[in-house]
Amino acid sequence: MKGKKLSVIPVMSAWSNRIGRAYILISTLISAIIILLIALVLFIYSWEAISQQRADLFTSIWNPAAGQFGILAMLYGSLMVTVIALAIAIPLGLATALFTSEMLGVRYRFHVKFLLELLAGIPSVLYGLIGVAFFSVWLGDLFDLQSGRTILTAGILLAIMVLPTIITLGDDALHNVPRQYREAAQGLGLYPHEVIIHIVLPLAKTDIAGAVLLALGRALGETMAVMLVIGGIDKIPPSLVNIMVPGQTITSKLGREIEETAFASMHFSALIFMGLALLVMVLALTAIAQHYFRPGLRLYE
Amino acid sequence: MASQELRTHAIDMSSVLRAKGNQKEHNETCIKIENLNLFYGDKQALHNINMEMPKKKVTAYIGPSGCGKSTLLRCINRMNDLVDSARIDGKILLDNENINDKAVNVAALRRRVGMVFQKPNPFPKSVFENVAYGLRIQGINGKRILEETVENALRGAALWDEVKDRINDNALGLSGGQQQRLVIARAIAIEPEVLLLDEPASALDPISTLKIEELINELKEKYTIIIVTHNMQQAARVSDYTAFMYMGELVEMGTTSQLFTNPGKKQTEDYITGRYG
Repeated sequence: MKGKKLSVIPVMSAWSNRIGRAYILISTLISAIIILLIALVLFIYSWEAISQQRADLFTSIWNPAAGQFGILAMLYGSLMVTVIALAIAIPLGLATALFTSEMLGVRYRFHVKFLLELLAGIPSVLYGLIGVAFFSVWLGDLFDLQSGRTILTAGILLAIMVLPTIITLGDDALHNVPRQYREAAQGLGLYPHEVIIHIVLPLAKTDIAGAVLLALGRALGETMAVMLVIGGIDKIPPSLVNIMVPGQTITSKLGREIEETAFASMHFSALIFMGLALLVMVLALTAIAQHYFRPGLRLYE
Repeated sequence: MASQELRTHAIDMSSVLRAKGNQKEHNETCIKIENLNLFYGDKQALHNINMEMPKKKVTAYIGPSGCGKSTLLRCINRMNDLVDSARIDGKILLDNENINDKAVNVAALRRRVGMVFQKPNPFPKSVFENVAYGLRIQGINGKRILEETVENALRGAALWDEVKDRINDNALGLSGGQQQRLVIARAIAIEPEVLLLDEPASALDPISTLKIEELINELKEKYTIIIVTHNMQQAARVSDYTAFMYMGELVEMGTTSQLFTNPGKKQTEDYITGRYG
């Protein structure tokens, strides 16, 4: 090795370096192009609906036979089930995360987390089956409804589905607060609840928000389970807060109807437009999340 | 060769110690430890510790890594409670009250026995809020009283002149040595009686270390201080009493000048002359 010129790189190393670099660059490019292509295709195929229906897309009547393609009922349904799901899952999930992270011993914590992650891996159609076979029937009996397949049913089922995500990521968020801050706070004579409220939660805030956003994305995008229990009526209830009526979400509508439409028809185009709307919502959420909850703001060492 | 180096250090220390002179031997006891044993699971980490720490003096715990000195320190404000597997028996009397008693309010104990850790751990808040923190938690929110206490605590920690113009800046922007003094200010803002320092200077550069040592000398007028240190010269410089620990046992404790110049046990002598550790 002695006396070799430093500027000369062995040919083989230079090549493997180049190949490796090209492989990585191409992989990255493919991922980026796929995302762009999806957006582009959705936009192209929804153009017919956008250009001809225009503002009529944002009405509440969906009647393909009469050429009416208002998506408001589906938009309402998607937002409503998501709000219900998160309203239930966030408080429940965070409380559970506090329990597993702050109160449970290390040994049990791993078992509990393992079970939760199993729960998160259950295929959504199984949740849907249980929802449609038992849960919606109970709910219908409980509130004496014509049908137990309602927006509320879908919301609760979604809450159960996103709960493991919130718990296990929330638990990670809390657990990742460095020990030094807890010790500092305890050393100052803070009670355990004060340590949690004043130290742990503020420091874990960013990661908890990340957990919630992931759950939000899943709730917005979930199709199968929602489709089975929501009832499938394209209507906004006369009272916006009456959630014990059947409804429809963007995803359940797409899942139900996309098979029945002729490719490149107006009906098809309007459905694709709904898909585009969903994509825009999810992208906007992600952008907001990245703007407000940048990991860079975390002040850990 | 290493032992020769350390031997010269031992000689250096004697000059420091001579300057200290002979201390008066009449002291009020602040903390008394009686028959203390600590287990981590099946492993015993502290063996039957008995010692007394006098009021408004600096006591240093020295000994090789893993000898239990930090563990012992953390017993004094029950920080070991946080370790699931730790089990403690024996008594630690703070002004004749057993802090290991079940009825003791641990948060209240920790307000009386403040702690500074090895790595500076300011909260990711402003300098002011860091020091005001303990007070705010106790429900003290008056602007004037907070400002006054924060300034006094920062002066007490010899940091005021360096940070008074950036009191609202994030504390994580301070240097390591400043952060450590900030943490000391945070601890003394709630006016504890005892300060536990767990290797407070081990992560700092020599100048910051010197500042912390000067600070300890000033602080002992008001507080009882117990310091854990790896650094024997540091123990010799800052402490009035020194306890030498080895393998979870207290080998010997005495005035610092006596322990360093005329150790009673062979083990102690071997350690301070650098034969092991």
